[in-house]
Amino acid sequence: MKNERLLDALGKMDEDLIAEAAPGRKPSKKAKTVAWVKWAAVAACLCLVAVGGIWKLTTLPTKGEPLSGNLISEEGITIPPMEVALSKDAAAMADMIGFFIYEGRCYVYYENFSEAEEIVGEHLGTVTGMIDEWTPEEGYVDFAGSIRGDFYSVKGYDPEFMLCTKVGNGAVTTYICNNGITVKYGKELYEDRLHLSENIAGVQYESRESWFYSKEELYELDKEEACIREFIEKLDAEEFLLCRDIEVQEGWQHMVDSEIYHLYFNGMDGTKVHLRLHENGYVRFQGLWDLCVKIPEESYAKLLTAFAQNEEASE
Amino acid sequence: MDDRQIIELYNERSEAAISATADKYGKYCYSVAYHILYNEQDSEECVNDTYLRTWEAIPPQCPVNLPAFLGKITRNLALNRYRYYVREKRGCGQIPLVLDELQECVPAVNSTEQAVEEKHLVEVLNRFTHELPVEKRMMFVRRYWYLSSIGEIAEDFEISEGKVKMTLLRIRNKLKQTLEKEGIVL
Repeated sequence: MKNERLLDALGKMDEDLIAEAAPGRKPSKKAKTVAWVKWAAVAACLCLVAVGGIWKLTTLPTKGEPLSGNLISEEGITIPPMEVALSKDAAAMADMIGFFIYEGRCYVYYENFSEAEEIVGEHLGTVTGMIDEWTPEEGYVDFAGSIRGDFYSVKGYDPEFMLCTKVGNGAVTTYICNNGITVKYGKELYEDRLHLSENIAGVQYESRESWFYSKEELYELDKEEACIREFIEKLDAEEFLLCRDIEVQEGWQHMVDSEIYHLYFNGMDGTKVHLRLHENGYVRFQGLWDLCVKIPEESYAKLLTAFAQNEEASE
Repeated sequence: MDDRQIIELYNERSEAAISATADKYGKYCYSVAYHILYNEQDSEECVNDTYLRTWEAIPPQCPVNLPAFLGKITRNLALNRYRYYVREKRGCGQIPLVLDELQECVPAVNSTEQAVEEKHLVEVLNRFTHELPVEKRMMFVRRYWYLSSIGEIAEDFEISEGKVKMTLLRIRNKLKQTLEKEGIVL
Protein backbone atom coordinates (compact mmCIF):
# COMPACT_ATOMS: atom_id res chain seq x y z
CA MET A 1 0.00 0.00 0.00
CA LYS A 2 2.86 2.37 0.79
CA ASN A 3 4.30 1.85 -2.64
CA GLU A 4 0.87 2.63 -4.14
CA ARG A 5 0.86 5.87 -2.19
CA LEU A 6 4.22 6.67 -3.72
CA LEU A 7 2.90 5.81 -7.18
CA ASP A 8 -0.06 8.15 -6.64
CA ALA A 9 2.15 10.96 -5.37
CA LEU A 10 4.43 10.54 -8.38
CA GLY A 11 1.31 10.93 -10.50
CA LYS A 12 1.02 14.50 -9.21
CA MET A 13 4.48 15.55 -10.24
CA ASP A 14 5.05 18.88 -11.97
CA GLU A 15 3.71 19.11 -15.47
CA ASP A 16 6.96 20.37 -16.93
CA LEU A 17 8.62 17.12 -15.82
CA ILE A 18 5.85 15.09 -17.46
CA ALA A 19 6.06 17.04 -20.69
CA GLU A 20 9.84 16.83 -20.78
CA ALA A 21 9.85 13.04 -20.58
CA ALA A 22 6.97 12.32 -22.97
CA PRO A 23 7.53 9.10 -24.93
CA GLY A 24 9.57 9.72 -28.03
CA ARG A 25 11.58 12.49 -26.41
CA LYS A 26 15.23 11.90 -25.72
CA PRO A 27 17.77 13.89 -23.79
CA SER A 28 20.24 15.97 -25.75
CA LYS A 29 23.56 14.99 -24.29
CA LYS A 30 25.86 17.81 -25.30
CA ALA A 31 23.73 20.82 -24.49
CA LYS A 32 26.72 23.12 -24.42
CA THR A 33 27.00 23.25 -28.20
CA VAL A 34 23.51 23.27 -29.61
CA ALA A 35 20.42 21.81 -28.08
CA TRP A 36 20.03 19.15 -30.70
CA VAL A 37 23.62 18.10 -31.15
CA LYS A 38 23.17 14.48 -30.18
CA TRP A 39 19.98 14.33 -32.19
CA ALA A 40 22.35 13.60 -34.99
CA ALA A 41 22.07 10.04 -33.84
CA VAL A 42 18.40 10.18 -34.59
CA ALA A 43 18.81 12.42 -37.58
CA ALA A 44 21.04 9.91 -39.21
CA CYS A 45 18.19 7.46 -39.10
CA LEU A 46 15.93 9.82 -40.94
CA CYS A 47 15.08 9.89 -44.55
CA LEU A 48 13.12 12.41 -46.51
CA VAL A 49 11.31 11.46 -49.65
CA ALA A 50 9.36 13.51 -52.11
CA VAL A 51 5.86 12.23 -52.69
CA GLY A 52 3.50 14.40 -54.67
CA GLY A 53 5.82 17.32 -54.10
CA ILE A 54 5.82 17.02 -50.33
CA TRP A 55 8.88 15.94 -48.44
CA LYS A 56 8.06 13.43 -45.83
CA LEU A 57 10.02 12.66 -42.74
CA THR A 58 10.42 9.24 -41.30
CA THR A 59 12.67 7.04 -39.25
CA LEU A 60 14.22 3.86 -40.44
CA PRO A 61 12.72 0.76 -38.88
CA THR A 62 14.35 -1.10 -36.07
CA LYS A 63 15.52 -4.66 -36.42
CA GLY A 64 12.94 -7.01 -37.80
CA GLU A 65 10.83 -4.43 -39.57
CA PRO A 66 10.64 -4.54 -43.34
CA LEU A 67 12.36 -1.94 -45.46
CA SER A 68 10.90 -0.80 -48.72
CA GLY A 69 12.86 -0.41 -51.93
CA ASN A 70 15.84 -2.26 -53.31
CA LEU A 71 18.61 -1.74 -50.84
CA ILE A 72 21.31 -4.01 -52.07
CA SER A 73 22.42 -4.19 -55.68
CA GLU A 74 25.58 -4.72 -57.68
CA GLU A 75 26.41 -1.07 -57.12
CA GLY A 76 26.23 -1.39 -53.37
CA ILE A 77 23.78 -0.40 -50.67
CA THR A 78 21.32 2.39 -51.28
CA ILE A 79 19.97 4.29 -48.30
CA PRO A 80 16.28 3.87 -49.01
CA PRO A 81 13.74 6.64 -49.08
CA MET A 82 10.72 5.63 -47.02
CA GLU A 83 7.22 6.85 -47.59
CA VAL A 84 5.60 7.82 -44.32
CA ALA A 85 3.38 10.82 -43.79
CA LEU A 86 4.84 13.78 -41.97
CA SER A 87 2.89 13.19 -38.80
CA LYS A 88 2.58 15.65 -35.98
CA ASP A 89 4.87 13.48 -33.89
CA ALA A 90 7.44 13.51 -36.63
CA ALA A 91 7.02 17.25 -36.98
CA ALA A 92 7.66 17.71 -33.28
CA MET A 93 10.76 15.57 -33.61
CA ALA A 94 11.86 17.42 -36.68
CA ASP A 95 11.88 20.61 -34.62
CA MET A 96 14.82 19.10 -32.80
CA ILE A 97 16.79 17.86 -35.77
CA GLY A 98 18.98 19.97 -37.96
CA PHE A 99 18.25 19.33 -41.60
CA PHE A 100 17.39 21.18 -44.77
CA ILE A 101 16.69 20.51 -48.41
CA TYR A 102 18.76 21.84 -51.28
CA GLU A 103 18.53 20.89 -54.93
CA GLY A 104 16.28 17.98 -54.05
CA ARG A 105 18.71 16.52 -51.52
CA CYS A 106 18.24 16.36 -47.79
CA TYR A 107 21.22 17.44 -45.71
CA VAL A 108 21.24 16.26 -42.11
CA TYR A 109 23.25 17.59 -39.18
CA TYR A 110 26.64 15.94 -38.89
CA GLU A 111 29.03 17.77 -36.54
CA ASN A 112 29.89 21.16 -35.11
CA PHE A 113 33.46 22.34 -35.59
CA SER A 114 34.61 25.10 -33.31
CA GLU A 115 37.46 26.61 -35.34
CA ALA A 116 36.76 25.86 -38.94
CA GLU A 117 35.67 29.09 -40.59
CA GLU A 118 38.28 28.55 -43.29
CA ILE A 119 36.30 25.66 -44.72
CA VAL A 120 33.29 27.88 -45.46
CA GLY A 121 32.93 28.19 -49.23
CA GLU A 122 30.45 29.78 -51.56
CA HIS A 123 27.10 31.03 -50.30
CA LEU A 124 24.48 28.73 -51.81
CA GLY A 125 21.22 29.80 -50.26
CA THR A 126 19.16 30.49 -47.19
CA VAL A 127 17.07 27.96 -45.33
CA THR A 128 13.72 29.54 -44.71
CA GLY A 129 12.29 27.27 -42.01
CA MET A 130 10.31 24.23 -41.21
CA ILE A 131 8.28 22.17 -43.57
CA ASP A 132 4.86 21.93 -42.00
CA GLU A 133 1.52 20.36 -42.58
CA TRP A 134 0.50 23.41 -44.63
CA THR A 135 3.11 22.79 -47.29
CA PRO A 136 1.10 22.75 -50.52
CA GLU A 137 1.05 19.57 -52.55
CA GLU A 138 2.84 21.26 -55.41
CA GLY A 139 5.06 22.81 -52.78
CA TYR A 140 8.56 23.88 -53.70
CA VAL A 141 10.50 22.58 -50.76
CA ASP A 142 14.07 23.50 -51.60
CA PHE A 143 15.44 25.69 -48.80
CA ALA A 144 12.95 24.25 -46.34
CA GLY A 145 14.31 22.67 -43.18
CA SER A 146 14.31 22.61 -39.42
CA ILE A 147 16.95 25.33 -39.23
CA ARG A 148 17.02 28.86 -40.56
CA GLY A 149 19.81 30.86 -42.10
CA ASP A 150 22.47 30.96 -44.78
CA PHE A 151 24.26 27.86 -45.90
CA TYR A 152 27.49 27.40 -47.82
CA SER A 153 29.57 24.85 -49.67
CA VAL A 154 32.46 23.31 -47.76
CA LYS A 155 35.84 23.90 -49.38
CA GLY A 156 37.33 20.68 -50.65
CA TYR A 157 34.12 18.68 -50.34
CA ASP A 158 31.48 17.79 -52.88
CA PRO A 159 28.46 20.03 -52.27
CA GLU A 160 26.24 17.10 -53.14
CA PHE A 161 27.60 15.45 -50.00
CA MET A 162 28.44 18.17 -47.49
CA LEU A 163 27.31 21.74 -46.81
CA CYS A 164 27.70 24.00 -43.80
CA THR A 165 26.29 26.93 -41.87
CA LYS A 166 28.17 29.50 -39.80
CA VAL A 167 27.47 29.40 -36.10
CA GLY A 168 29.53 32.39 -34.98
CA ASN A 169 32.94 32.82 -33.31
CA GLY A 170 34.52 30.84 -36.13
CA ALA A 171 32.37 27.77 -35.49
CA VAL A 172 30.78 25.90 -38.35
CA THR A 173 28.04 23.31 -38.44
CA THR A 174 28.27 20.71 -41.17
CA TYR A 175 25.40 18.87 -42.81
CA ILE A 176 25.71 15.84 -45.00
CA CYS A 177 23.42 14.26 -47.52
CA ASN A 178 23.13 10.76 -46.05
CA ASN A 179 20.13 9.51 -47.98
CA GLY A 180 19.47 8.74 -51.58
CA ILE A 181 23.10 7.66 -51.90
CA THR A 182 24.57 4.32 -52.90
CA VAL A 183 27.84 3.05 -51.50
CA LYS A 184 29.58 -0.29 -51.77
CA TYR A 185 33.08 -0.05 -50.28
CA GLY A 186 34.29 2.03 -47.37
CA LYS A 187 36.53 3.97 -49.71
CA GLU A 188 33.51 5.53 -51.43
CA LEU A 189 32.60 7.25 -48.20
CA TYR A 190 35.87 7.67 -46.33
CA GLU A 191 38.09 8.67 -49.23
CA ASP A 192 35.90 9.80 -52.12
CA ARG A 193 33.61 11.89 -49.95
CA LEU A 194 35.47 12.54 -46.68
CA HIS A 195 39.10 12.52 -47.95
CA LEU A 196 40.13 10.77 -44.75
CA SER A 197 43.68 9.56 -45.52
CA GLU A 198 44.98 12.82 -46.93
CA ASN A 199 43.53 15.06 -44.23
CA ILE A 200 44.58 13.62 -40.87
CA ALA A 201 46.09 16.10 -38.43
CA GLY A 202 45.53 14.05 -35.30
CA VAL A 203 43.74 11.03 -33.87
CA GLN A 204 41.68 10.98 -30.69
CA TYR A 205 39.32 8.50 -29.09
CA GLU A 206 37.11 8.16 -26.06
CA SER A 207 35.12 5.37 -24.49
CA ARG A 208 31.44 4.98 -25.21
CA GLU A 209 30.74 6.02 -21.62
CA SER A 210 32.82 9.17 -21.91
CA TRP A 211 30.98 10.13 -25.10
CA PHE A 212 27.55 9.28 -23.73
CA TYR A 213 27.97 11.29 -20.55
CA SER A 214 29.95 14.07 -22.27
CA LYS A 215 32.90 13.44 -19.97
CA GLU A 216 35.30 14.29 -22.80
CA GLU A 217 37.94 11.87 -21.52
CA LEU A 218 39.79 12.00 -24.80
CA TYR A 219 43.00 10.15 -25.48
CA GLU A 220 45.43 11.01 -28.28
CA LEU A 221 47.05 8.50 -30.54
CA ASP A 222 49.94 9.05 -32.93
CA LYS A 223 48.52 9.27 -36.44
CA GLU A 224 51.60 7.48 -37.76
CA GLU A 225 50.97 4.38 -35.67
CA ALA A 226 50.96 1.34 -37.91
CA CYS A 227 47.67 0.14 -36.44
CA ILE A 228 45.98 3.39 -37.49
CA ARG A 229 47.20 3.12 -41.06
CA GLU A 230 46.14 -0.51 -41.19
CA PHE A 231 42.74 0.35 -39.75
CA ILE A 232 42.11 2.99 -42.42
CA GLU A 233 43.27 0.64 -45.14
CA LYS A 234 40.74 -1.96 -44.01
CA LEU A 235 38.05 0.65 -43.48
CA ASP A 236 38.42 1.66 -47.13
CA ALA A 237 38.65 -1.86 -48.49
CA GLU A 238 35.72 -3.49 -46.73
CA GLU A 239 32.18 -3.59 -48.08
CA PHE A 240 29.38 -1.79 -46.32
CA LEU A 241 26.88 -3.87 -44.42
CA LEU A 242 23.42 -2.96 -43.21
CA CYS A 243 23.46 -2.55 -39.44
CA ARG A 244 20.04 -4.13 -39.17
CA ASP A 245 21.49 -7.35 -40.55
CA ILE A 246 24.16 -7.58 -37.87
CA GLU A 247 23.35 -10.13 -35.22
CA VAL A 248 23.22 -8.53 -31.81
CA GLN A 249 23.43 -10.14 -28.42
CA GLU A 250 20.22 -11.60 -27.01
CA GLY A 251 18.14 -8.91 -25.35
CA TRP A 252 19.73 -6.01 -27.22
CA GLN A 253 17.59 -3.90 -29.47
CA HIS A 254 20.21 -2.53 -31.76
CA MET A 255 23.90 -2.77 -32.39
CA VAL A 256 24.33 0.54 -30.57
CA ASP A 257 24.38 -1.58 -27.42
CA SER A 258 27.66 -3.08 -28.57
CA GLU A 259 29.41 0.26 -28.99
CA ILE A 260 32.76 0.50 -27.22
CA TYR A 261 34.66 3.56 -28.51
CA HIS A 262 34.31 6.76 -30.48
CA LEU A 263 37.26 7.47 -32.74
CA TYR A 264 37.97 10.92 -34.18
CA PHE A 265 40.22 11.70 -37.11
CA ASN A 266 40.81 15.42 -36.75
CA GLY A 267 41.33 16.98 -40.15
CA MET A 268 43.95 19.52 -41.14
CA ASP A 269 41.09 21.66 -42.44
CA GLY A 270 39.32 21.81 -39.06
CA THR A 271 36.77 19.08 -39.81
CA LYS A 272 36.74 15.67 -38.26
CA VAL A 273 35.66 12.17 -39.18
CA HIS A 274 33.77 10.70 -36.26
CA LEU A 275 33.59 6.89 -36.12
CA ARG A 276 31.71 4.67 -33.73
CA LEU A 277 33.50 1.44 -32.91
CA HIS A 278 31.59 -1.66 -31.90
CA GLU A 279 32.45 -5.05 -30.60
CA ASN A 280 33.42 -7.68 -33.18
CA GLY A 281 35.03 -5.15 -35.51
CA TYR A 282 31.99 -3.22 -36.70
CA VAL A 283 32.57 0.45 -37.44
CA ARG A 284 30.02 3.10 -38.29
CA PHE A 285 30.41 6.66 -39.48
CA GLN A 286 28.56 9.12 -37.26
CA GLY A 287 26.81 10.62 -40.26
CA LEU A 288 25.68 7.33 -41.77
CA TRP A 289 24.17 5.34 -39.00
CA ASP A 290 22.53 2.54 -40.87
CA LEU A 291 25.67 1.17 -42.48
CA CYS A 292 28.83 -0.28 -41.07
CA VAL A 293 31.95 -2.07 -42.20
CA LYS A 294 33.54 -5.00 -40.44
CA ILE A 295 37.25 -4.60 -39.85
CA PRO A 296 39.12 -7.95 -39.92
CA GLU A 297 39.68 -9.32 -36.46
CA GLU A 298 43.46 -9.02 -36.43
CA SER A 299 43.53 -5.38 -37.51
CA TYR A 300 40.79 -4.45 -35.09
CA ALA A 301 42.54 -6.17 -32.22
CA LYS A 302 45.72 -4.21 -32.96
CA LEU A 303 43.80 -0.94 -32.75
CA LEU A 304 42.05 -1.86 -29.50
CA THR A 305 45.34 -3.02 -28.01
CA ALA A 306 46.90 0.32 -28.92
CA PHE A 307 43.98 2.06 -27.20
CA ALA A 308 44.47 0.00 -24.05
CA GLN A 309 48.24 0.53 -23.97
CA ASN A 310 47.81 4.23 -24.59
CA GLU A 311 45.30 4.57 -21.76
CA GLU A 312 47.60 2.65 -19.46
CA ALA A 313 50.54 4.86 -20.33
CA SER A 314 48.45 8.00 -19.72
CA GLU A 315 47.51 6.95 -16.19
CA MET B 1 -4.41 23.81 -33.51
CA ASP B 2 -2.59 25.75 -30.84
CA ASP B 3 -3.20 24.59 -27.26
CA ARG B 4 -4.41 28.04 -26.28
CA GLN B 5 -7.03 27.83 -29.02
CA ILE B 6 -8.17 24.45 -27.74
CA ILE B 7 -8.50 25.80 -24.20
CA GLU B 8 -10.41 28.76 -25.61
CA LEU B 9 -12.88 26.31 -27.19
CA TYR B 10 -13.37 24.69 -23.77
CA ASN B 11 -13.95 28.10 -22.26
CA GLU B 12 -16.52 28.87 -24.96
CA ARG B 13 -18.19 25.51 -24.20
CA SER B 14 -17.71 24.49 -27.81
CA GLU B 15 -17.79 20.74 -28.37
CA ALA B 16 -15.14 21.23 -31.02
CA ALA B 17 -12.79 21.34 -28.02
CA ILE B 18 -13.22 17.59 -27.56
CA SER B 19 -12.48 16.71 -31.17
CA ALA B 20 -9.52 19.08 -31.24
CA THR B 21 -8.18 17.46 -28.07
CA ALA B 22 -8.75 13.98 -29.46
CA ASP B 23 -7.11 14.92 -32.72
CA LYS B 24 -4.01 16.38 -31.12
CA TYR B 25 -3.57 14.37 -27.91
CA GLY B 26 -5.71 11.25 -28.31
CA LYS B 27 -2.77 9.08 -29.21
CA TYR B 28 -0.70 10.41 -26.31
CA CYS B 29 -3.49 9.80 -23.78
CA TYR B 30 -4.08 6.34 -25.19
CA SER B 31 -0.41 5.53 -24.73
CA VAL B 32 -0.53 6.66 -21.08
CA ALA B 33 -3.61 4.50 -20.41
CA TYR B 34 -2.36 1.50 -22.35
CA HIS B 35 0.88 1.30 -20.36
CA ILE B 36 -1.22 0.84 -17.25
CA LEU B 37 -4.06 -1.32 -18.53
CA TYR B 38 -2.58 -3.24 -21.44
CA ASN B 39 -6.04 -3.51 -22.94
CA GLU B 40 -7.25 -1.62 -26.00
CA GLN B 41 -10.89 -1.29 -25.06
CA ASP B 42 -10.20 -0.21 -21.49
CA SER B 43 -7.60 2.26 -22.69
CA GLU B 44 -10.00 3.79 -25.21
CA GLU B 45 -12.67 4.13 -22.55
CA CYS B 46 -10.19 5.82 -20.26
CA VAL B 47 -9.27 8.28 -22.98
CA ASN B 48 -12.95 9.08 -23.59
CA ASP B 49 -13.41 9.59 -19.85
CA THR B 50 -10.41 11.91 -19.93
CA TYR B 51 -12.17 14.14 -22.47
CA LEU B 52 -15.25 14.26 -20.27
CA ARG B 53 -13.23 15.12 -17.15
CA THR B 54 -11.36 17.78 -19.07
CA TRP B 55 -14.67 19.23 -20.28
CA GLU B 56 -15.80 19.39 -16.65
CA ALA B 57 -12.50 20.85 -15.46
CA ILE B 58 -12.02 23.66 -17.99
CA PRO B 59 -13.25 26.19 -16.99
CA PRO B 60 -12.56 27.06 -14.23
CA GLN B 61 -9.15 25.44 -14.60
CA CYS B 62 -6.81 26.78 -17.23
CA PRO B 63 -3.91 24.35 -17.74
CA VAL B 64 -0.53 25.78 -18.53
CA ASN B 65 0.59 22.55 -20.14
CA LEU B 66 -2.36 20.89 -21.82
CA PRO B 67 -0.81 17.49 -22.69
CA ALA B 68 0.56 17.01 -19.18
CA PHE B 69 -2.82 18.07 -17.76
CA LEU B 70 -4.59 15.49 -19.95
CA GLY B 71 -1.96 12.87 -19.18
CA LYS B 72 -2.47 13.31 -15.44
CA ILE B 73 -6.21 12.79 -15.76
CA THR B 74 -5.71 9.74 -17.97
CA ARG B 75 -3.15 8.25 -15.61
CA ASN B 76 -5.48 8.64 -12.61
CA LEU B 77 -8.43 7.15 -14.46
CA ALA B 78 -6.38 4.24 -15.74
CA LEU B 79 -4.92 3.54 -12.29
CA ASN B 80 -8.40 3.56 -10.74
CA ARG B 81 -9.62 1.15 -13.37
CA TYR B 82 -6.57 -1.02 -12.85
CA ARG B 83 -7.21 -1.16 -9.11
CA TYR B 84 -10.80 -2.12 -9.74
CA TYR B 85 -9.70 -5.06 -11.87
CA VAL B 86 -6.88 -6.09 -9.61
CA ARG B 87 -9.25 -6.68 -6.71
CA GLU B 88 -10.41 -9.72 -8.59
CA LYS B 89 -7.19 -10.87 -10.12
CA ARG B 90 -3.68 -9.55 -10.49
CA GLY B 91 -3.40 -7.48 -13.61
CA CYS B 92 -0.77 -7.53 -16.27
CA GLY B 93 1.25 -4.65 -17.60
CA GLN B 94 3.88 -2.63 -15.81
CA ILE B 95 2.04 -1.81 -12.56
CA PRO B 96 3.01 -4.89 -10.51
CA LEU B 97 6.63 -4.49 -11.59
CA VAL B 98 6.67 -0.77 -10.87
CA LEU B 99 5.03 -1.27 -7.47
CA ASP B 100 7.67 -3.84 -6.58
CA GLU B 101 10.37 -1.38 -7.57
CA LEU B 102 8.79 1.46 -5.60
CA GLN B 103 8.61 -0.76 -2.54
CA GLU B 104 12.39 -0.39 -2.42
CA CYS B 105 11.99 3.36 -1.93
CA VAL B 106 9.72 3.11 1.09
CA PRO B 107 11.73 4.44 4.05
CA ALA B 108 12.17 2.36 7.17
CA VAL B 109 10.27 4.10 9.98
CA ASN B 110 9.34 3.94 13.62
CA SER B 111 5.77 2.66 13.97
CA THR B 112 4.72 5.63 16.11
CA GLU B 113 5.46 8.19 13.40
CA GLN B 114 2.57 9.69 11.46
CA ALA B 115 2.22 9.39 7.72
CA VAL B 116 3.24 12.51 5.87
CA GLU B 117 0.67 14.74 4.17
CA GLU B 118 0.43 14.01 0.47
CA LYS B 119 1.13 17.63 -0.41
CA HIS B 120 4.48 17.49 1.37
CA LEU B 121 5.32 14.15 -0.22
CA VAL B 122 4.59 15.55 -3.69
CA GLU B 123 6.78 18.58 -2.95
CA VAL B 124 9.69 16.38 -1.92
CA LEU B 125 9.26 14.13 -4.96
CA ASN B 126 9.13 17.12 -7.29
CA ARG B 127 12.25 18.63 -5.79
CA PHE B 128 14.05 15.28 -5.95
CA THR B 129 13.08 14.76 -9.60
CA HIS B 130 14.00 18.30 -10.65
CA GLU B 131 17.46 17.89 -9.13
CA LEU B 132 18.27 14.75 -11.12
CA PRO B 133 20.47 15.19 -14.22
CA VAL B 134 18.26 15.55 -17.28
CA GLU B 135 18.76 12.06 -18.68
CA LYS B 136 18.18 10.32 -15.37
CA ARG B 137 15.21 12.58 -14.70
CA MET B 138 13.60 11.68 -18.01
CA MET B 139 14.27 8.00 -17.42
CA PHE B 140 12.76 8.19 -13.92
CA VAL B 141 9.62 9.95 -15.18
CA ARG B 142 9.27 7.54 -18.09
CA ARG B 143 9.31 4.58 -15.72
CA TYR B 144 7.30 5.86 -12.78
CA TRP B 145 4.94 8.35 -14.37
CA TYR B 146 4.43 6.94 -17.86
CA LEU B 147 4.91 3.35 -16.66
CA SER B 148 7.01 2.64 -19.75
CA SER B 149 8.67 -0.75 -19.83
CA ILE B 150 12.42 -1.07 -19.38
CA GLY B 151 12.67 -2.22 -23.00
CA GLU B 152 10.87 0.85 -24.32
CA ILE B 153 13.09 3.19 -22.35
CA ALA B 154 16.22 1.38 -23.51
CA GLU B 155 15.11 1.65 -27.11
CA ASP B 156 14.20 5.32 -26.88
CA PHE B 157 17.40 6.26 -25.08
CA GLU B 158 19.48 3.98 -27.29
CA ILE B 159 21.07 2.18 -24.37
CA SER B 160 20.92 -1.38 -23.08
CA GLU B 161 18.17 -2.60 -20.77
CA GLY B 162 20.82 -3.40 -18.20
CA LYS B 163 21.90 0.20 -18.14
CA VAL B 164 18.32 1.39 -17.68
CA LYS B 165 17.81 -1.03 -14.81
CA MET B 166 21.05 0.02 -13.14
CA THR B 167 20.27 3.72 -13.51
CA LEU B 168 16.77 3.27 -12.09
CA LEU B 169 18.12 1.21 -9.20
CA ARG B 170 20.52 4.01 -8.28
CA ILE B 171 17.76 6.59 -8.53
CA ARG B 172 15.50 4.52 -6.29
CA ASN B 173 18.26 4.16 -3.72
CA LYS B 174 18.81 7.90 -3.83
CA LEU B 175 15.08 8.52 -3.50
CA LYS B 176 14.89 6.30 -0.47
CA GLN B 177 17.76 8.20 1.14
CA THR B 178 16.07 11.51 0.33
CA LEU B 179 12.76 10.42 1.78
CA GLU B 180 14.46 9.20 4.94
CA LYS B 181 16.48 12.40 5.23
CA GLU B 182 13.27 14.41 4.90
CA GLY B 183 11.66 12.28 7.59
CA ILE B 184 8.96 11.11 5.21
CA VAL B 185 6.67 8.38 6.50
CA LEU B 186 4.40 6.73 3.98
